[in-house]
Amino acid sequence: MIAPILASLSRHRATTTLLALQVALTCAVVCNATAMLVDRLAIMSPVTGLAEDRLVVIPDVATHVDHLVARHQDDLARLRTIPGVVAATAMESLPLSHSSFGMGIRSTPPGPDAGAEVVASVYAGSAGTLRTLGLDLVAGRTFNATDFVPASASAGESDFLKLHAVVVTRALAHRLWGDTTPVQSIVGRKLYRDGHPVEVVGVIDRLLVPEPGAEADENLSMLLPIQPGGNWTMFVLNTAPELRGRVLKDAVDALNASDPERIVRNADTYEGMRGEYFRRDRTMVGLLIASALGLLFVTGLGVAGLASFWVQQRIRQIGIRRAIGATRGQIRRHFHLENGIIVAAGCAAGTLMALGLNLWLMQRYELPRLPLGYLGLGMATLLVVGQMAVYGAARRASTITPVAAIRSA
Amino acid sequence: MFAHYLGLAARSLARNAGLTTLMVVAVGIGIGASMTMITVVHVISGDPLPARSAHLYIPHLDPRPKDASDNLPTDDLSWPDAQALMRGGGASLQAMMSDGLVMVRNSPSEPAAHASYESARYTTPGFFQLFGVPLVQGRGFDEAEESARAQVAVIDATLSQRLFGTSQGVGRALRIGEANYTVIGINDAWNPQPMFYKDLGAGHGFGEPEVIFLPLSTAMANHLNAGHTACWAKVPDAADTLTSPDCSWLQLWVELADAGAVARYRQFLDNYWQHERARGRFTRHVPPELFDLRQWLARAKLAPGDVQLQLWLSIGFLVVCLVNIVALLMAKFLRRSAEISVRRALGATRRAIFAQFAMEAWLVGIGGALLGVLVAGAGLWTVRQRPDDYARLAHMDLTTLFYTVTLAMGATVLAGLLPAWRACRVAPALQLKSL
Repeated sequence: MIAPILASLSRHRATTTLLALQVALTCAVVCNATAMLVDRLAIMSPVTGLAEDRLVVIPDVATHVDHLVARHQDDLARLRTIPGVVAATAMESLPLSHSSFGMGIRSTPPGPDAGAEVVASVYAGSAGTLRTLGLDLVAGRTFNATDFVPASASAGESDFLKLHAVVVTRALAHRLWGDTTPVQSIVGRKLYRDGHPVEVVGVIDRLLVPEPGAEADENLSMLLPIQPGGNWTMFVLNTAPELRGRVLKDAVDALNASDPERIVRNADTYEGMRGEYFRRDRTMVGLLIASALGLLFVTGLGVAGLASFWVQQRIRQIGIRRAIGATRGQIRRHFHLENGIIVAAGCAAGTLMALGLNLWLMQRYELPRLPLGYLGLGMATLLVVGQMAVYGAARRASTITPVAAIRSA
Repeated sequence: MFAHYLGLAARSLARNAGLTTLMVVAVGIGIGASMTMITVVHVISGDPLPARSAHLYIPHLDPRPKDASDNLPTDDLSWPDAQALMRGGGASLQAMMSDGLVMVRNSPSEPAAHASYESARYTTPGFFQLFGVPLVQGRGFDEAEESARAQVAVIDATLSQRLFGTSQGVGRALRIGEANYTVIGINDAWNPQPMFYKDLGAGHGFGEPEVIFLPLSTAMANHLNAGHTACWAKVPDAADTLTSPDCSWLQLWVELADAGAVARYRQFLDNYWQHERARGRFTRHVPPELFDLRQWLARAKLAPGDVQLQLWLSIGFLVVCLVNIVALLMAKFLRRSAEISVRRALGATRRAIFAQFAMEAWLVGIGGALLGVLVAGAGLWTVRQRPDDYARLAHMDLTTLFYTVTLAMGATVLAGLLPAWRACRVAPALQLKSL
């Protein structure tokens, strides 16, 4: 069955090679695009640890710079009276807010045998932050009123040195004291910055860093009981998901009414903010999907077009084969098999190209290595596309009657 | 003959209307996608100041000690280094600068306008002439004002319009932070892209230019927020950060008229470096460099990785489309071997056959080019909706239009070459026998 197909293909060597080349290129690009797509989707779906569907975020810029700590507390009191608001807090940054502040801390006091420094992302927030964000406290307690200190300017180092309590994530606790230490025993331990000890009063399950990198699951962060005092701050409100739209509008109106000079911009639900953070990645995902589908479509149409040419070209031969006893199914199988051989040859070359392309991408854009499973997936997809594309032409070929053999072509 | 071949080609294409549409759509989408991304990359790597870029240079020192971590940005200069280079460099024009976000309000003597945050550039008097900033009213600040830390500002015409209700705001006053400044000049429509003079290491090479220009000494005296300050040693008193030799935050640009001036400046830079090393600084032993503007932009790698990947993706798409067309044209042409043989037998030369079939490929190219222009237009529109700072620059102009059409035609003619060549090599006798 295969030998005659190979013989007939060798008479169309140029066209066959071109089709196989097209399949190979498509295979190489589609495999890599799919891998990139899966990476992007992973980057876009980090777990923040927040009650995302209940949060409304209102960035606020005060244009007067005096008594900011008291001013933010007044604003919070105002926001808490809005119907539907369950809890409210003022913060300097949030997961996926682009505004990040890292701080080096140790599990031991400075000295010759001090532990390694761990850089943790710092979230400064006023009272009620844990409740507002919906963070999952797995050990210890939340902050109480005596823990809080007012910020001097923004959550800088000098404020940290006034603190005596901190809440850390499970990931940070494990990084500081080892993976096997139970979280209950971490409560009460001290962590140090420049020799200043601060007690861990609680451990939360997770709280994503403000700007996660490619790992997308970075939770080395801690929550500090600092009342924000900068003129750039974020009010975060917790409300029922269906009330978010109205609460957002009421809150912005209430803030603007209390001080028309303030600048309130980009107020949004947390989900909206999260969507904005990943907008570039969404664009890339859309382009990757569109290109992969587009390539498969073009290749499929190319296969269909060529097959229909070949059928027309071989009407007489098909007629002869039918006349000497070939069944319709055999004619049909001939074209499907022929297509399968070309696509398989193309995929074999395409696999090598895909690996080469991946090597180049790894060097140039620091992309991860292509998992080999994608190669199999790409091959299977192309074989299916090829068989589907050739179906119409093969069916038409099978309807050619033996009498075609004696008619002129 | 041309018209005849055109007619033949058109009729042949019309006979397989579905296939023709497929080829045109494939070329059109491939070309459109490639041109969209080529335009974006072209915009990102454009010359920001064509009239002056040839003579603009930026000196680069790495002042960090040996043990400093590698991830600190080092593209900026510290205050003492920038001062020394300004004093001894002998450049025909020069300016050092930094930038920051400042809160702007009307001064009490003006009608109230809503407060806002605006981007400001703090610089020395040479700035306006060095970069050819067009001042439509008033003047830039001078050396006397710089050394006296005068409360003067040059602002953008649109900011003037917003604050004072007139674009002719010279003589009016505005409040930046808590201090009042007198407007002495208005600049208009100065917006080099990419914004090469900014600290490119900080990531934003494109976008809105600053709308306020203040004397550097005044900004320092008023403790205005200064862009990206990087320190590699503890500064004992935080108030001294900006003047510390261990913190970098300034950019210095110089104009050097000819090769001699460049060589002299390089020599001066080298001497300064040696001198400071003798004093125990610059222990990383990274020799100083003098970049011209294009080198500086190339070094900053302004095109984001995503944009480059998108460019490669679109080019990959185009290549697959073209291979597809080569295969289809080849099959199509060879199916007409009988027709070709008859023409050859009647005396047509190979060249004539080639011309006839190349014409067909060329017609597909025209269709693809037209569709490609539409697709590129739509593609650029979607790019402009992106949140990136380069996005709003992505427009099609006559140059990109020309390249789109050329690329489409060139690509399809190239794609038609192999099939047309194969067509003209058909052996007439063999084919005629089987007729």
